[in-house]
Amino acid sequence: MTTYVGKSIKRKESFDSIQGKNTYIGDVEVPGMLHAAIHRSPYAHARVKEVDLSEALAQPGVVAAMCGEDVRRLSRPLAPFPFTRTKPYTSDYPRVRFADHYGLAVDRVRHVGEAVAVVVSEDRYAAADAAEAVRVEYEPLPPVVDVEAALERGSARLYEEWPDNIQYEFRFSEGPVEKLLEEAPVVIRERIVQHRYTGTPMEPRGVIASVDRRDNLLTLWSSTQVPHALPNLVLETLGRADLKIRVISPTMGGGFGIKWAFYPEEVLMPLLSLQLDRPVGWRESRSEHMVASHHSRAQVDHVEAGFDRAGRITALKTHVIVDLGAAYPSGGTSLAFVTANFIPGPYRVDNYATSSFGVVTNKTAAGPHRANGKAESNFIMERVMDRAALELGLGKDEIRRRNLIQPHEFPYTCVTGSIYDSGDYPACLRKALAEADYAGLLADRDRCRLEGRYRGVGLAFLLEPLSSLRPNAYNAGYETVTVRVDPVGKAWVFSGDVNMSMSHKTTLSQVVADELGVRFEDVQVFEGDSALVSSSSGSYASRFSTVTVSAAIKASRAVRTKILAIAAHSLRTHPEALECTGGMILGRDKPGVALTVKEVANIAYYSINQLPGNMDPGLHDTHYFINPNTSFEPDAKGRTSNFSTFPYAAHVAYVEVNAATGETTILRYLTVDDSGNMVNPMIVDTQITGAISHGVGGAFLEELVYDEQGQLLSGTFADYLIPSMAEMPDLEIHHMVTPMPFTPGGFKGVGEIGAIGPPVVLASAIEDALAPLGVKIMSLPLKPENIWRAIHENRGTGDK
Amino acid sequence: MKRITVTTTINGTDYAFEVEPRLLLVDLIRDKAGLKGTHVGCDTGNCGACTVVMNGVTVKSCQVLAPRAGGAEIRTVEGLARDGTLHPIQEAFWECDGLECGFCTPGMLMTTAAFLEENPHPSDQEIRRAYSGNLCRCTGYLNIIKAVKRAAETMG
Repeated sequence: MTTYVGKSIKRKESFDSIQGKNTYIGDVEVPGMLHAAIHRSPYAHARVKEVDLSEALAQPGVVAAMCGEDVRRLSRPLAPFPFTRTKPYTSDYPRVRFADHYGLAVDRVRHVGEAVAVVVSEDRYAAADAAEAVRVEYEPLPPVVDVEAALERGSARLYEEWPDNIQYEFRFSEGPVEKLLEEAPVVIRERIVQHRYTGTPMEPRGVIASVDRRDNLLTLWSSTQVPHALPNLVLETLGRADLKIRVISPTMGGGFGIKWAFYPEEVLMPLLSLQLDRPVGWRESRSEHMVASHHSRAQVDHVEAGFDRAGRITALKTHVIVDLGAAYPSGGTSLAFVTANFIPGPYRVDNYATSSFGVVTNKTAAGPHRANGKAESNFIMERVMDRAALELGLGKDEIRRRNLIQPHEFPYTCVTGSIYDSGDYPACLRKALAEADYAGLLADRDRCRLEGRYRGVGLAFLLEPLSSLRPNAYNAGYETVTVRVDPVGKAWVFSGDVNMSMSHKTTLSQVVADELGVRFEDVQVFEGDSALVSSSSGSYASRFSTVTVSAAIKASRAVRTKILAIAAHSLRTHPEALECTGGMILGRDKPGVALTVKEVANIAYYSINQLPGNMDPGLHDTHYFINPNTSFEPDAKGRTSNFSTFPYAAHVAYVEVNAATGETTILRYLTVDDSGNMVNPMIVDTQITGAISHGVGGAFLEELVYDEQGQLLSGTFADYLIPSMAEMPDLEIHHMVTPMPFTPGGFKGVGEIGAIGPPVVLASAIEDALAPLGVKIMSLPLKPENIWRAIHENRGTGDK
Repeated sequence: MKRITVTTTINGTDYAFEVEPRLLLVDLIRDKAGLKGTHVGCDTGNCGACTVVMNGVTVKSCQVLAPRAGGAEIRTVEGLARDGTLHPIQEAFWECDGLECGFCTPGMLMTTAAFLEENPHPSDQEIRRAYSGNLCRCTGYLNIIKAVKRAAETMG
């Protein structure tokens, strides 16, 4: 049955990419298109007293300009995302506030880079000139920069209509946590600081809008991960019930969650296009991207963990404070929810209490970035495990072994309500230790220590909740796929997903070719267009293999059943006596080709008199595949189950730290990863490698640094360093395969787990290397200057 | 703004454009010559998505004013395949899965074209140094290193 699935087939997508033939958003040409440029706030927090557009409008080629007042007159506040306004929130979100932000700032700016005015010109360069000619009078206000200070009484507030700066609050408690912490012989208490960094896809964003007045059809091209949510969001914001909206998300130059949001430009371009009756486009520059596209990760966490003498966790208590930046509809509140829910991670934790706040500050809005909230939750728990190992005199491997959930416990309902689907965590840990020669590494470390060299071994066990849903939200968590076999026997696949870079064309072709029994080359995949299928939750949370592939399998199976029924009818036999492979229908017990899929298609579309009785013409099926293993409705403890599947991995790193400079060299980096069945192992390994490079960047290089005035100090690729080839370590990638029990193909997903590992395992390794100096690592990033300080100030990072 | 004429050769074809003197070479290539394979990923010359070969050496075309390309021979990603046959560098990147979203790929390929002329048998370390000005956010680079070595082998 599987001719293609499980094979490392070269990617279809690469053929155009290697010839520069892809059409990205910046390559879309709409005849008569005008160019928009945006004037952005230089202040983190200020009153906008006056916007003077006259000088900008006088520039050659400029046809229009708008400020916040114009936008307020012509539209509504940006619709919330990902929640819809249609229903009240469930216990999943006990408290979330929305702020009224428009496409352009009205009265007040709340972060550096916030859009204040837009100008439109016949020429892109002239538009940029005109945007600079916009004159704005600001009255600076005290900026709210530090997330902990933002929580203090008396702090300046971002939104006057709110009583404080808390946008989101989530609390959960199970078991006598306080009592157990009091009784525990060993308690780890730490304050952990995780820094602000983000996905920075190589392609910045872009938006083009064009209106067809005859049909009242607005076509919106946007580099978005949510083309099916945007029609709703834009219509609600425009307040125009008369329009139809089609959203096209062209080939994307990377997304990583950053394009999972509702951005102001996605309403500004439609607004301008409607006003001017011409197509209007905007292309984000990198400098804009760094302040206008969302950030991620920043949080301060307080954790208390009680252990018994055998090294088992008895109780866990956490307080999570996420720095959300301004409250734009960027989906940032999920950072607080996901982090708080999954700090217990792969370990058996029966008693857990958490309070999690999403706090607004005068910074760029925060939203998902590859491993949203999961990079953070794993970092917290793994730091705790390392500290507990030291306290208890256990090996890092041993303390994990004693706490990991055991294979016989699956499906395992974790303390916060999600159901971990499958796996063998101890086997994964064993395999990682064996492949790394863990004991050998420890011995080498000890040898080096005698020579005065600081080498250390890091170990991390990672859990990645993926394929999520939210009640009453655009990410309701199902996926829609239509499979059609056309009259000449070729397969067409229409998916609601988006081509961000994850090889969907290739993977879906492999799966559909196998399920239908046609050739890989005869499958054509379309996605990234809201006109293709009725609805979709979009591309996020590594959900493609869980839901999109499953929908494709189910739809393909329905079509194949019909193909075999028609063939059986024609051959006067039973469908069970036939099989279909490579586009040919064969008798199971008779050699030779009985019919081709093309011949069956011919019957299905043209010779419909030869169809079995009552069968409709055509070969097609649309399947809605709902996130399995989840529940919207709170259980007796008020818990929902929002994630379908839980891939996991063990990472081992061996490093050497130069104590004079604080610089870390990675000597070895190894991962054992269980993402379920693999459609294409080559693509899986490239995903893991790419994700690890994100993590290496986050660990060592990338940091969105704000000064006390709320100015971003690392706003270009000259200051915000993403890893280059020179910084990327060689990797040893190993696999385990535990098929996902709740999807038809046993697939889970693999886009993010690699990004979780490096900050966690490198902190572990560096702390181990510097153990003779008593250094404790409780904050990120692990930049040389931070490590140097930790060594020379003889205290841990994070102890501020 | 005063306009000037820039005559240049791109992938063997001669062009003459009336342009503003401030026009960037990357915009001349993309918007005037219509060759959209060269991409813009940053505005500071760090990412290398706009890398093209000008007179035999790589330049970041977002850092070059178009008039400086007057009289120059420029090679872009569109010039790699000949008569429908992929260049060995393109084949190697495909074979080794040296790309995902493809946005940085044209720059990577053009860096490879110039680099392998200069150093036909590079070591891993030499590759890592030579490509530090070409950023990729998808692949984590290891497959690109393999692809460069594969291309070096096939090109002899």
